[in-house]
Amino acid sequence: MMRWIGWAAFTLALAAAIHWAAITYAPSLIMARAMTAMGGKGVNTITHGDRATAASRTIVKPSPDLLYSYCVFDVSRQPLKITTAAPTDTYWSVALYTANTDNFYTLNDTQAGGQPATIVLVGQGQTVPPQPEGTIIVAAPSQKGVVLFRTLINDDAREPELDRMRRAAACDPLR
Amino acid sequence: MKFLLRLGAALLLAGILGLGSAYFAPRYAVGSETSVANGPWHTNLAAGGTNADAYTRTFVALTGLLALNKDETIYYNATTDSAGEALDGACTYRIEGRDPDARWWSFTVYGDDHFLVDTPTKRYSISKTSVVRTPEGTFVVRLSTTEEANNWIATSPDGFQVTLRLYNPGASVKDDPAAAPLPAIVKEACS
Repeated sequence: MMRWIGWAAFTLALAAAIHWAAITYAPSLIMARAMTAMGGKGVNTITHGDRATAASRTIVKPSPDLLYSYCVFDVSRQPLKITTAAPTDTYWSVALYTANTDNFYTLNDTQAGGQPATIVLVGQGQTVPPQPEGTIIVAAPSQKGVVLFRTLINDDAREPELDRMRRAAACDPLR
Repeated sequence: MKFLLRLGAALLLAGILGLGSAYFAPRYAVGSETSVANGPWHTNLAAGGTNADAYTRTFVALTGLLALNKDETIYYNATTDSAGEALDGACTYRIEGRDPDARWWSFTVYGDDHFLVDTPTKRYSISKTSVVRTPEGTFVVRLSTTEEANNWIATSPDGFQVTLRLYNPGASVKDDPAAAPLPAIVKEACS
């Protein structure tokens, strides 16, 4: 009897450990898989995605009303310079995510006054040389993550125009 | 030999219990203190935020990776109608009400796999800028597999869910997301 109780306790303790590990590491693993899929052009460079359809299966719940552009970032060697586009008369935003999915910084069109913005994303332990006035300095909580630009298609007829406008956005290693 | 068999059985059972509970537990993060229900709509205010707990992070990673934090966007999701019955791909529904309090909003239908429903019409969503309103400012959006001219989103006979995005939510939503006026989801008919 005691032997069976021992086995049961061992099994439950092991199940609890597996549960904890899965819950703790699942977000990072899911994000890592997404970053691999999104980083086809390499890190610290921008990709302009197509408008989402039923065939878009990289990231769950894509919005069909947005144009997404993205960079997978790695600031372990140098900071990243992020330049936003400024599509007119619609909502746009740039959102920064850590490797464990946290949205640690967001800037939208209203906050930017409708103007293009420059963000320097700084890795841990790095210093940034003086930057032009108005540059936004953001500390990255993780060395790797994702920059996601959203441009709202507020009228289907504007999609080509908005697609052209959003292509002014860029991600480049800070020289 | 008997010891190895028992060890193998224990490892297998622990794996099933551990991974199975990890798979289902985040779905019940809906009961945590950061989760909010408003009629058929549910949201987790910690989604995308830096203060999210492990269950919320996992839930969001599985069902809404790269969500914005609640100051930028609040995402409500519905898997039931306003009567509390599960959304059924064999049924027709209407979403009825007025504009939610947000700078921009949209209803989007997703399959049970959290991806857009494969439909030739590509009518995946209705938004603040595409909805047709009555002179009184109300609207009715129909969810069905049968195409309609306006205010219609295609559903999947295999099952679906609806996401309501509120970009730059207004004060009534941010202050009380459980009580903010949101449209109802009403079942019309089933085939």
